Amino acid sequence: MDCSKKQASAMGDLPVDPLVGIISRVPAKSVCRFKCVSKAWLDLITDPQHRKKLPQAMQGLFCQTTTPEAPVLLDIQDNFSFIDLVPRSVPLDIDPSFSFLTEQPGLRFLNISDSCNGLLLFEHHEGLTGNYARLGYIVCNPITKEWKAVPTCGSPSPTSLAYPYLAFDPAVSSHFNLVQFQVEKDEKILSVHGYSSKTGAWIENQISEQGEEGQLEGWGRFNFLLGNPQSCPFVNGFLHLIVLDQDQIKIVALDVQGKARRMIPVPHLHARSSWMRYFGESQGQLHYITQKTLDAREKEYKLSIWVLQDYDAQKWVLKGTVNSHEVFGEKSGRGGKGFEVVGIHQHRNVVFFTHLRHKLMAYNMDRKELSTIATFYDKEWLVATARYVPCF
Amino acid sequence: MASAGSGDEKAAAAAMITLISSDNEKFEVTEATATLSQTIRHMIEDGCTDGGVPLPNVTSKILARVIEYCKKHATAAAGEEGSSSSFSDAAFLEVDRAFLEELEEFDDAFLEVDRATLFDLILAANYLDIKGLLNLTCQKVADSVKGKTPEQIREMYNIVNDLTPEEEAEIRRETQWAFE
Repeated sequence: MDCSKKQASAMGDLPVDPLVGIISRVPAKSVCRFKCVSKAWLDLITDPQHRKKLPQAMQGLFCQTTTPEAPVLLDIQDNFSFIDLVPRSVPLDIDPSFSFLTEQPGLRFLNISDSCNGLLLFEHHEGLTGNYARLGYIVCNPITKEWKAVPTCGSPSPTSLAYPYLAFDPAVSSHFNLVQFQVEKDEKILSVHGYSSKTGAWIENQISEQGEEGQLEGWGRFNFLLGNPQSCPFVNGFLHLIVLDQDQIKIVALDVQGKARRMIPVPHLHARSSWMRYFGESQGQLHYITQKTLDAREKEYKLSIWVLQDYDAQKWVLKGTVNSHEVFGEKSGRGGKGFEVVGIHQHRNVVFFTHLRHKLMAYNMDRKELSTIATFYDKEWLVATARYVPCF
Repeated sequence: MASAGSGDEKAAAAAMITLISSDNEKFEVTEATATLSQTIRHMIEDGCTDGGVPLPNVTSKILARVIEYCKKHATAAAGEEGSSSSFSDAAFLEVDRAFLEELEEFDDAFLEVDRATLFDLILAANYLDIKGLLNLTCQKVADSVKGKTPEQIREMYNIVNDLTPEEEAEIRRETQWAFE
């Protein structure tokens, strides 16, 4: 051992492990920037062993499309695509058709249901449309091609639907959790079950067992508020579900077992003639988008993008607005009609829209630029998207 | 251990470890303090701490700071063990909270050092395998670098950019969004 080792004063003097330890503690955006520092930093960040420990940036969107005329005849392999958002010289090593899943015997009709920090959740059906019985869930990691089948939970009923969501944070654990809400057709929540890939088992209903107090009292009697897309963002270790308490919209934060932990109000966001357009996560914060009609003929509207800036103090801040005429006016000729929000970028101030489920567009709020990122075939119809961040 | 102590004094004396810095300064610490370092814990388990533990990578200045950290956190660890074996009633939780707050204040004050010292602490924590100290010091550096541009990082840490203009242009193209 070198006894006269000089004192460290430069980052380059640090051994690799502490350096990885430091870089693993900065946001994905900073990790991306740091690739440009030097060759040593670039090698360190892209090293297959180290990148597992570093926050990764969102790379693109998985899309699921269907053809309305003949959904049953569609081959599943034509059904998925990956929209790469990074202009790269070497394509990402992923299989957008998920052949490693679809070639499994007995696995055929999969619907993209959710994604969370590198994992994708599929619902596995007997047939392609929602009318067929659900056989279970599949959770997969597109980059490692690892996957796990998860059985369904609870008794299927013709009058209720199950909504599953993923909770996964590779920085905390290599295991994932699922939380499934069983919802009656009248939007009453029947049950909340949690699944852990560590135990491989679902736990009992988290609603009937608990006697919540205070703000959470009786939350299980609130209505499930169906969004489009239906989302339940995972932030600060909690899943967040939008519920309707009579006419008031609220957010319930649930732990990964499905137990309600706190109630987050959505105050003053609902001015007259405005409604919830989207609820999701970006840059580690909850985002809530409302839409307000601006003229009597309902051609022009304004989207307001709110961010829960202070989670503990429950402080919402208006991040920006999007005027449909200004953004879509010339392109659609109809003042934004037919445009739907499908998601927000995980690390950027970018909102994803679909136009008539035929085009996928990205609106950069900072640069106020709208761009088309995908156009589907004539008879293709976008049914689901999922953000993708690699988890090596 | 081979010879069991007959009294408290002997047990306490047996639990003292001598650490020797690179500049030959000796530090007497309790085993509980020393074993916050996994490296030293393994040496104790292997029975090779007689005559002191030489730490040729750590100066007396840095070792003194590391021991200061370990003493405080060893007390904290002992406190946690104590409270977990008793009923966790409100009074105990209150004590725990006060202690955790005190520990947090200690950590904040502990990190009030110049950059060279901070890096030396990271090196020492890495070498001695003291998880808590390594987490603490790495987080401090991470907080100071996040949001910075590559140019600022190079300047802060005297790093020479050895990427070719072509390589850098290529990376910038792929990571353009991160510079907005």
